[in-house]
Amino acid sequence: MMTTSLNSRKTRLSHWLHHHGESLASSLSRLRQAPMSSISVLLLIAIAFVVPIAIHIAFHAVNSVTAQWDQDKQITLFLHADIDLPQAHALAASLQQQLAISKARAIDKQQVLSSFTQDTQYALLGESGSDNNPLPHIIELAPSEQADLEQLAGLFATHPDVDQTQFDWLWFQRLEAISQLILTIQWVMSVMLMLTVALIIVNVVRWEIASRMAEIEIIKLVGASDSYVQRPFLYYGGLLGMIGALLAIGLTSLSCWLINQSLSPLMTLFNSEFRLIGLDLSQAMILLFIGIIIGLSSAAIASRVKIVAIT
Amino acid sequence: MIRLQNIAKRYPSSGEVLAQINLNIPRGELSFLTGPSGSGKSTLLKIIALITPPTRGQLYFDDQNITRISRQHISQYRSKMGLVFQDHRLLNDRNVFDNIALPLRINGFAHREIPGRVRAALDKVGLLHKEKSAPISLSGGEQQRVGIARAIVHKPILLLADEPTGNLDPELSSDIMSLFLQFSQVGVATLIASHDVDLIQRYNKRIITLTDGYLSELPRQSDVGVN
Repeated sequence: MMTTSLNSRKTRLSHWLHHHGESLASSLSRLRQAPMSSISVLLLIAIAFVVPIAIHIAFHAVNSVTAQWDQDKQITLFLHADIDLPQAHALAASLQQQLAISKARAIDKQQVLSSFTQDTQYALLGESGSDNNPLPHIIELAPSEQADLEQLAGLFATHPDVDQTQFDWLWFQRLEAISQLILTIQWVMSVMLMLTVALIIVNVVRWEIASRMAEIEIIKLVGASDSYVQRPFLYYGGLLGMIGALLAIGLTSLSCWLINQSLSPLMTLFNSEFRLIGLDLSQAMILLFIGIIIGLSSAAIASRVKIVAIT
Repeated sequence: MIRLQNIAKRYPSSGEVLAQINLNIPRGELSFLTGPSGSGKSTLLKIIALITPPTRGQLYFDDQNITRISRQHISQYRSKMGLVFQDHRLLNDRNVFDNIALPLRINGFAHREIPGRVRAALDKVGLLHKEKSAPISLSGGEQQRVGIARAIVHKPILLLADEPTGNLDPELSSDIMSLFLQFSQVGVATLIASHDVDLIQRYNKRIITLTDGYLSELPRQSDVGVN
C-alpha cells in the first residue's frame, strides 16, 4: 500500500515535471514559428528595459565624476589681520580635532602672496614688499564626509578669529540636486517602462490564447485543469520576459562598449579616466529576474482571465 | 451512475430548452437520445458533461451531487468521461497519435504507458496504420474514428457522443455504431445523441426521446416481445 502510493506520487511528480518540460518546449517552438513577430516583440521588450538602464548608467557615470570632485570640496577661512602665524597654526590644529573636519591647514600670508604674484595680473602686488602684504593668513579646510556644511558655515560666521569664509560648493550642491533629479527620473521611467513591458506581454499572451481558443476548448473538454491549460502560456510569458531582458543586457553592453570606444580619445584629451560602466553580473542577474517575474505575472493575469472564461 | 433530477435549462436568447428532465444512466448501459433538431439533445449532453450549468435541478454522479462543483472537480469529473463530437474536434497542429494521447497526457499517465494505450485505441477503431497522419489528411469517417479513439483511450466509465454519425454515410454510420456497442459491452456507460431514428432502432437498445423539453422513453422491442 505504502509503495503504491509512493509510486503514484512519483508518477504524478514525473508527469508534472514532464508537462513543465513540454510547456517550455512548446513555448520555444512557438517563438520559432513566427520569427519576425517574435523578434520584434522581443526587441520592443528589450528596448523598454534598456531606457531605464541607460539612465541608470548615465547617473552612475555622473556620480563617479562628482565623487572625484568631492575630494576637492574645500572651505577657505580668511583670518583677521591681527592673527599671527603661530595662532593660525594653533587654530588649524584645533579645527583638525573636530569630527566635521577631515583636514585643516594654515597657510602663511607670504606664501599666499607669492602664489598670487606668480599670476602676472597681481605681479604688482609683490613689488610693494613683504612688509606691506595686505593679505591675511588663511586656513584651508576639507570637511569630512558626514559634515553638515550649513552647520560649519554657521560656526565660522561667528568665530572671533575668522574674518571671511569662502565656500566653493554651491555649484557642487547644484550638481547634486541635478543628480537627485536624474535619480527620480530614473525611477519614474523604470516604473513606466516596466509597465510597458508588462502590457506588451499581456497583449501578446492574450493574442496567443485567442488564436488557440479551439485547442484550449478541446483540451478542457478532455479533462485538463485550468493550471494545465495555463502552464504553456506562463512559460511563454516568462520566456518573453527573460529573452527580452537578456537582449537588453546585450544591447547595453554593446552600447557601452561603442560609446567608450569613441569616448576614450576625448577623455585622454581631458586627462580623465572617465568611461561608462555597464551592468555588472549581479545587476544583470537582477534584470533577468525582473524580466522573468514581469513575464510570468503578466502571462498569469492575461491567461487567468481568458482561460477561466472557457468552460 | 449518472442521475438527472428535475433538470431545466433556459437560454436568455432562445427560452426554455429543457423543461423538466429526469434521467438515470446506469453503469455499462448504452442509451440513445433522440428528438427533432433543436430539441435540446446537445444541451442535455452539455449539462451532463458540466459544460453548461442547468438553470434548475440537480445532477448526481454516483449519488454525489455534482451540479455546482469547483472548476478543479469539473476537470477531474471530465477525465472520467469520453466525449465524441459531430465535428470531431481534432487538433490539426499535431498528428493522429498525439491527438489520441492528449487525454492520457492530461490525466497523468506514465510516459512509457502512452504508446501502448494509444495503439490499442487505434487498433479498436481500425486506424493503426494512420498514427503518424495529420487529421486533415483523413476522410470524415476516419476523423470521427480518431475522435472516438481519443474518447476511449483513457478507459472512461461514461461515453457521451453528440451526433457521432451526423456527417457520415449509412455504411460508415453503422460501423461507428457497432464500435460504440463494443465499448458498452465492456462496461462503458454510453449515451449517444442522434436524430437518425432508423439507424438507432436497429440495435434494440434503450431509446430516450426529447420533445418540447420533456423526455419520453419507448418500451424496448425485447420488453414487448417483438424481438
